Amino acid sequence: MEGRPISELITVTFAPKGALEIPRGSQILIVGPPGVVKTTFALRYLADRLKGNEQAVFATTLWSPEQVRETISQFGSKKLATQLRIADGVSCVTARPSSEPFAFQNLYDLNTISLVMIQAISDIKNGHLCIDNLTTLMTYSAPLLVIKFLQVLCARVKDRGLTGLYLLEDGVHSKEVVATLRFSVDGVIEIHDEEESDELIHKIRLVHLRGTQVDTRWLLYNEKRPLRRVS
Amino acid sequence: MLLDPILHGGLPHGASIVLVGSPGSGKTSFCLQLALEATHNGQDALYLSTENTPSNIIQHSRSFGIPLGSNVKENKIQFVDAYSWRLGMRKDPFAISRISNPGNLNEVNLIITDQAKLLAPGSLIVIDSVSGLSLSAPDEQRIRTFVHSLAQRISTMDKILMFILEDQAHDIRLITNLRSLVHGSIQTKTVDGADGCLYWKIRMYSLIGANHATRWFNNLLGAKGLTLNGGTTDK
Repeated sequence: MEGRPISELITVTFAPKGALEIPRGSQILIVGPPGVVKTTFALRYLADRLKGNEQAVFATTLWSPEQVRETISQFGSKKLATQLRIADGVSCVTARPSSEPFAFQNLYDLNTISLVMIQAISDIKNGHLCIDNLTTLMTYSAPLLVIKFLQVLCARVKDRGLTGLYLLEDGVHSKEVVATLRFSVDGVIEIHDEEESDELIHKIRLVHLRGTQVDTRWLLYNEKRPLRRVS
Repeated sequence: MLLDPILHGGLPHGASIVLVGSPGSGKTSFCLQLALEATHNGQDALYLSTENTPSNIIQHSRSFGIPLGSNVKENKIQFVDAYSWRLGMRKDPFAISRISNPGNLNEVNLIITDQAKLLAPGSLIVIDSVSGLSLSAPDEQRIRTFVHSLAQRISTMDKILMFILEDQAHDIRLITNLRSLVHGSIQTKTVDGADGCLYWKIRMYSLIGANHATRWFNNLLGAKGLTLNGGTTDK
């Protein structure tokens, strides 16, 4: 992070294409209610980065690697699916051998998970990492252990210049755990859903980001369309 | 001066304050602005950071219009790095000292006390944050005794001490207890504005023996750093 121009840090904007621009090296917590929006939002974000020939690692504990690959290829070509590096945290639960080069042996040994994650990003510079999600890890380990795991992982991911996205289910954890996670990262993206004329709409916003003045207005999120401001 | 609208003449020497607020409500920026103002008065500032490296803080503050750079070079603003332990043995170029284990609150206490002795009277010391330290030292009793003993020691040295706490990250009884162990407390929060943006608010909740405003002020970031602005009526 050292020696980077300030201009790069303060341009946190919503690009016209509809992608959320997050400054390189930021560690972001994405909080939202259970549903598919967090994961698809993260995959869409990674898809946009992969198209720009950047690298991305996606650690999954909920969707199978096949599902992840299928979803990300919807945001572009089939090529995206092969470009995405997956850390497989699902096969160990289903007791099947993983076909991925990076896989967790179990979900409760956070030290090994840390090592696998660091290995997965070891040859990547200026890429992106996403963990889907912290809530699953917290069903296997005490919240404080997961927070400490995240504390060290974030520092190392940031030190390598990678952007980190960490997904968290809203309404599951105590407010102390959520508040602690929120201050352990650089910034927070919130996703909300609400009923509007018989339809569930999703809103997304960047709440804060250390060292930057951010636009905190809500944006409408729709899988098919670019992000746009709530009028 | 930054605090003049709330408290004329700024914080009294020897005061220790708990600053409580939610993440992203401007706690760090507020303290950095106070640190910069301390240097304008010929005083120093000592800043312990658990959530960021000194290099990053300096870089961020510049983008906020709070230029710390030259003060850091002249050692008027000094950083204690309680972040880089996560990366192994690395030392940040702007840190005068490095905490190898933030869970060891005795080490933190000693380093801060030793450094504080060298500072001019009225200098500012910021612990950003107690919540960060408490992740490595989850025993609340030790947090209480750490805050109490550090507040007492710094107070006898005529320095100003600021403990930053993350709102909602702790049991409310711990926060209330820590407030009772120091001289005063300041709160920050964010509120949704009519235009859909979040705004920073700040207020002086209490300060022993001082006549201060207790209403919420707007905490505004501009080209020249932070300024506090108005609010509505007092009382």
